[in-house]
Amino acid sequence: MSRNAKYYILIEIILGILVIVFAALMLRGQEDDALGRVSVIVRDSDDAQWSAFKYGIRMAAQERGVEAVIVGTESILSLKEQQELMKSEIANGADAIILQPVPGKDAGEILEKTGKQVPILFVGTGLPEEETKVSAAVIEADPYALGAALAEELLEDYQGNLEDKTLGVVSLTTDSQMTASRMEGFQEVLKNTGVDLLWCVSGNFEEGETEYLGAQPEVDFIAALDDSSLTAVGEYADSNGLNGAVLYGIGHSTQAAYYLDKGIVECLVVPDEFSMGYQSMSEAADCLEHWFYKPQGRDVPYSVLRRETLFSQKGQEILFTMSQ
Amino acid sequence: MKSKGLKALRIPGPLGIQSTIMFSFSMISVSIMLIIAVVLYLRFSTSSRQETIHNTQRLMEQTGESLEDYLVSMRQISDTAYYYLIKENDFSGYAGDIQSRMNLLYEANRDSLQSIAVYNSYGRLLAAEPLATQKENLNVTEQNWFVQAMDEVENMHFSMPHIQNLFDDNTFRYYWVISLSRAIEITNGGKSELGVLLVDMDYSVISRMLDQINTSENGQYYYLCDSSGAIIYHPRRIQISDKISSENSTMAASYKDGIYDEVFEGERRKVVINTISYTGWKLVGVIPYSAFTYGMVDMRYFIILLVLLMAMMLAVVNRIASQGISRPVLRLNESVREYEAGEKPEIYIGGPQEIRHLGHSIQKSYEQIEDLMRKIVLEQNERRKSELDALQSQINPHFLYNTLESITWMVEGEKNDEAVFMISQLARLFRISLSKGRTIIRIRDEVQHARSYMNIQKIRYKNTFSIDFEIDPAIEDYSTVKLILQPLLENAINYGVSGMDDCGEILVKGRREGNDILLTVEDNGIGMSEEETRLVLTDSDRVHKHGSGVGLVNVNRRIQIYFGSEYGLFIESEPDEGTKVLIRIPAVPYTEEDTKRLEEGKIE
Repeated sequence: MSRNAKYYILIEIILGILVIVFAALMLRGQEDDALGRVSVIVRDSDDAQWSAFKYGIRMAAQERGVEAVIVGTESILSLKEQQELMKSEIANGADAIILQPVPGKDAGEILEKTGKQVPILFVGTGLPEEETKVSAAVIEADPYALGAALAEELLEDYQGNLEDKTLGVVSLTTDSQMTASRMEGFQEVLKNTGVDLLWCVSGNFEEGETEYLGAQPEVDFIAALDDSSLTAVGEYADSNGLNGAVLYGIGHSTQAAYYLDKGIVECLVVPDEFSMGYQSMSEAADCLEHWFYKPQGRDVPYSVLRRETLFSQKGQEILFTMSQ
Repeated sequence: MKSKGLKALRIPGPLGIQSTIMFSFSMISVSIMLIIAVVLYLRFSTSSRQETIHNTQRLMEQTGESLEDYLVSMRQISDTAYYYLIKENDFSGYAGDIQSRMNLLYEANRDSLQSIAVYNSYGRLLAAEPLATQKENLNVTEQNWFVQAMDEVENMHFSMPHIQNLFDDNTFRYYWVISLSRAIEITNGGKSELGVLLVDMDYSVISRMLDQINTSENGQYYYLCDSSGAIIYHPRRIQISDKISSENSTMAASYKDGIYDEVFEGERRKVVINTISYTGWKLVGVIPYSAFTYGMVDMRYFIILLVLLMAMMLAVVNRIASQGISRPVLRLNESVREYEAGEKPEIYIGGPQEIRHLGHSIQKSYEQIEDLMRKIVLEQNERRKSELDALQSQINPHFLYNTLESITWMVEGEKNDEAVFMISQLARLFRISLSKGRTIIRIRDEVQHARSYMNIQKIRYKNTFSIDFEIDPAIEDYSTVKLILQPLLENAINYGVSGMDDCGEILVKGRREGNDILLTVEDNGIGMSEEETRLVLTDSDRVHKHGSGVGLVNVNRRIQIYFGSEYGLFIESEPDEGTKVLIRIPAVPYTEEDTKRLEEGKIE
């Protein structure tokens, strides 16, 4: 074969390879409309408390070209159910999962296995320290800081003098890392202030369970450490009153804001759920865009709202995200 | 190592014809393709950019019109409520009537309305639709819409979007509204007083309207701001308020309607402004420059793909074309190379007319070269033969024998002087014959040779003939081939005058004529017929009856070998009249240089 023929064949082969490469790139560009699919698994996902969070998820997904799937869940979600949901979502093509982890024995181990398949980002809460086998990033409003902020607002209202005052605490669960940290922050600030913690009640307060609240001894203050508890107590207070107890709480739903607006809640600490959703989805998108990206945990801000500041510029923005 | 490196750096030799043609064709084709591709791409991207801007403008005009229609309808509702319901009726007596007619108005427009409410100047609610409980401890006089209405009573005021903070409907919902407020005159108990009519527009109508056009994935978006740049609607409203994102709305608010180029946060973008009448709101369309090329990545790939496919195709076409053009040349080249290598192939003749002609020419040239080569070889052979013949003539044993016989006879007859003369003539003859091995000698020497020869022959033939030399002295220093006169004289003796009794005459003449030298040998012998005369110079195979055997053919050939075919012998003869042999040679002065040149056979 002559040298010319060799060059000719070589050029044709190179051009052929380039044609194949560019055709593949063109076809891939046409197929890849979405960057990937991210499933969001949070407890009681249809509840209004997630409105701002889901709005944030939606906004970030829209900006980054990610398909976001909010998985429908019940108010009670077991570890096993959560695991099944994750498996199912991965089987359905989820490229990453944003998860509000359910606490429980071996939760870390289970999540570690799943985490090897797709990136997992925790929102709202992490896992207890003994379960931190999973190095998943946690995007949350610092629960300790939230609890502490709530207590500081209480202290501020009484100029730091809570001597001989009594306190009741309401929370959705007692075993979650989030509740534990919020409680820790709350109690830490109130330590040595003379306030007497009379009771702690936890539960999801459905189907008349709020009646338990009525059975509790009278207190001067009630602190609700999460949105579900706050709305439950607010609902109870709206109907039955709290026997003079002043309600403080952490919440992020319009119902919680409504009780603040109505004067049932004295002070509302609002974690920025929009940011939590937005940032978690942005991190997930980063994971999908860059193979070796290690998702970063982030603390989202929180705001303190009172009745008179509910309709301030900031308050209105918060209500806007909650109303979506 | 070094030599390898140098080898690699060495400039490659000239390309083959096919490579050159293919390379040239390919370069031209690729250049043209690239130019076309770039021009097409630029043309396409320019028109695409213009189209994008044009579409944006059109879309914004439509959306602006829809917005204006919506705002006009809200103002009409406000006007209707005021002029047909409130102004004409006294609240104290017709409150129920006003309420029911307001209800009708609200129901007719409930899709775009959040609520209609009438307040007196103290902020007391006089009427509202839909019916709802006003929040406790609410002081509307501090709310912006109320303040604005009371501050400028003659105008209608559109507020910024805000959460409606008026009613408690127990749904835990908060409504995002834009308030249209105006100061009104209320008749209550026959007294006229100032109040405020509030029409709360559902913000979602405006947001839906703008959401519908904010569907582009290329980064292009639209937002709405007031005349101060405060954002009314933005697809990233919360991100902006959370400082995650930002917007150049203050600058946009300062623009008049039109298209502007700006750089915001390092990003170049086009901004299209459309002002909404009456409110002064600005509908802003933002087209980042990246949006112009969005989706064109596929187009780029497509153009590259097209160029590559064309390049592949052109490579094939170019190869076929270059092969078509170069194949005849290459085949011709191959046949020439084989010829040069010593083989004797047929020179390739084919392909286009020019190549065929070239093939024919080369073939003809080679044939001529071969002929010339053959001639040269032949001439060389003949030269050697003639030289040998000349040499032979020098030592003609018969001549020598006769001469020596004569000398012997003279010595015996004690004719010593004659013997001495004879010997001296013979010596001179041989000296000139040898001439140190030269072939080219002076005419003087040649004539001397002839004289010596004739002197010897005259003695041998007992002076039965006479010999006379008439040589122009001017030609004596010109060059001639040696031993050309002696054979003619020998022939003149043998064939001309030997049989004549004392009346034989031989005349040798020499003169110059133009650039030639003419030497003639004439005799008055028996002569030759015309046929014989013709054969003398052409028939080299004739058997010589007498003499040394060196015929005139040989002399003629030798002259022509050294001086050219236009020179040589010319014979005139008449039977019984005699023969005249003319030698024509060029007048070449006898110099060392010319002699050497003639010896080597280089004749100019």
